[in-house]
Amino acid sequence: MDSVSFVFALLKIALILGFLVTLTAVLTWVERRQCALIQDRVGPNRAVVYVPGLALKLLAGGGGLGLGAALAAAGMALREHPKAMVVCFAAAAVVALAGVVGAVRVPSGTVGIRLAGMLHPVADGIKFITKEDFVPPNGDRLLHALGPIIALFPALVTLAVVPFGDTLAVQLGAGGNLWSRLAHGRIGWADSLRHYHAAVPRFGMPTLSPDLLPVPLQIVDLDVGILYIFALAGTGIIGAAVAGWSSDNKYALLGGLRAASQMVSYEVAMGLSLVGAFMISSSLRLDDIVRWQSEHTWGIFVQPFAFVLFLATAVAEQKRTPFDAPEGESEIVAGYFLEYSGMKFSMFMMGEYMELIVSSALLVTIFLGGYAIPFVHRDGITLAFGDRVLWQAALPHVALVALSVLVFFGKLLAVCFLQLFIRWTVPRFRYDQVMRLGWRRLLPAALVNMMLTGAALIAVDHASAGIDQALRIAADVCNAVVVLGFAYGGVAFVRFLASRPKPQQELLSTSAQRAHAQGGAHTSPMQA
Amino acid sequence: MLATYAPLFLLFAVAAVLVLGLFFATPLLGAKVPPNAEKMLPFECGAETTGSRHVKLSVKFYMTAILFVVFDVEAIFIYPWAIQFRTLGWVGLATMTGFLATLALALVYCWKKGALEWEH
Repeated sequence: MDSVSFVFALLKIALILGFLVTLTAVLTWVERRQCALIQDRVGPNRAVVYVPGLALKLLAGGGGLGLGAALAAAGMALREHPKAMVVCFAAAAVVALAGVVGAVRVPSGTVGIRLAGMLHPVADGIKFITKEDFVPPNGDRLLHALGPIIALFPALVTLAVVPFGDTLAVQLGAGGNLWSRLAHGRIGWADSLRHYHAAVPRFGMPTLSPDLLPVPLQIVDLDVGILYIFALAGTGIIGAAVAGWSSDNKYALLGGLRAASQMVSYEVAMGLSLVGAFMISSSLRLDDIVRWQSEHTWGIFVQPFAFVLFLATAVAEQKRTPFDAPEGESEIVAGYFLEYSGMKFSMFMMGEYMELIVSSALLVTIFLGGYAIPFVHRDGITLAFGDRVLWQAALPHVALVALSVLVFFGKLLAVCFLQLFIRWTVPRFRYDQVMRLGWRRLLPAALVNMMLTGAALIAVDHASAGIDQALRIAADVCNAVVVLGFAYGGVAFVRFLASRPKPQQELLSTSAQRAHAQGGAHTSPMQA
Repeated sequence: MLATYAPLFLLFAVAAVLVLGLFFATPLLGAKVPPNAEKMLPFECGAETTGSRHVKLSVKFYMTAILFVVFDVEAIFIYPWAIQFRTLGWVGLATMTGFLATLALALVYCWKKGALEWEH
């Protein structure tokens, strides 16, 4: 591995691990917020950091002015590019103004910072670290230690094969090592469109010209792709089973057994539910699957049943409500991690949330187009239905790649939000219902989906040119539906944000109705 | 070969450092409270524990494990076929129909024999 690839590998690892750990903390906050919203409570807001107002004033003013000065200096350095210089100067003015306004607006007394409850994950972390470490004296010490490690490690490394953006082409100047080229400004992005157009075809991998380095935006590009994810997800099961077994506790043992039994059951259905997608794209590499969706249409339109099956099995694999019998607190206290304290307990929880993120990433990659955007390809925007091109516009390479990365993480966050919401919507299943759903419903459904996909694929591959053309138009219509749906959703969301909340009062009981008829009951501040 | 897998091993190393750091955080930095006999008991919501902790378990868990091994190995046979499906065409579909029919037969047999029953 040469130094350039090494630097990029390090950057990608830092991005993915940082994203995972940060999002895990944020998701715990989102989950509490959702719960509070649904139950009409305040939610997390009690973690406060008290800061003297003067320090905040200095921070805002100094930070704004300092950043503004740095931006202005950057603008001066970019004198030869007038557009960039204007942008830099405008940004400098805005940042400096914001800093000054912030410094004036901050009250001078002590200020309590709550960040809408975002400090709760931090408070949790401090609490976990300062807890007493408990190891059951009669348990298996080695297995008890291995439990949280085996549960967390696979969840951390699973995202390695998921592409989080389109392949980035880096233009390397000739001669010298990386550092000297960097120092002399001889390394840059292949953003001159003419140059990039020749090097990178619209579909397929970039051809290797000597000074163009393709950097796939995934940590490692394995042929086995999704099998790597299944293998590591399977390892996570051992963590739960070993933790329950070694804890010297009946509840923990039962929880570990339930967890292992449930996870292996749903792993079969999960593995088979994705086979249809592999048949269509003829590859296990996730990048190929995204590329297929970019050329045709999103996977959810060609494999709708598989999407539902995979979503159900993914929630079951994470042992989250409604599939949380392994940790059902009303029956077996906390299940397999009952005898863990402090950060070791937290490692199981982090592993669970990271599995949620990973399964959301898989859902996005296989069914929701991954980093691909409808009608956007490597050469820009092409609005076309079948062979009829309606509108075309070229976009610079860096903009396209940056857009693909943003789109991937945006989709990922949306699916994470959806998966969190399932928890507050569906009550817990009984264990026999869980097993019945897995073996007698989802597994046969996955097999049927596979055979139907096979028959349909054979028919499509042998279809006449007219049907082929019709299918391509249908695919583009699906893409158009996605675009219109997102446009409508965006408008609806903005209107929702702009609308004033309506005070609602539902009189449920007859006594409340009577009180209302008599001019209302007295309320006290304590009733909030 | 090594060039392909090198970033993966790098990721493994970083993740291992992270996991071990979290694992040793509480034992090293956490509160040190001397143990007492009651605290060291298995937690069963305050009730005193009786008998062996490794209780006899339902045979259903064992059955599920065996079924998992059978069906997951079948899944491994299906993946290479799925990748080659579009080149194999009709022949591939017919062959796999035979294989899946056998698999479905096994599932129906387990079902009828009651191996998938968790109700009682």
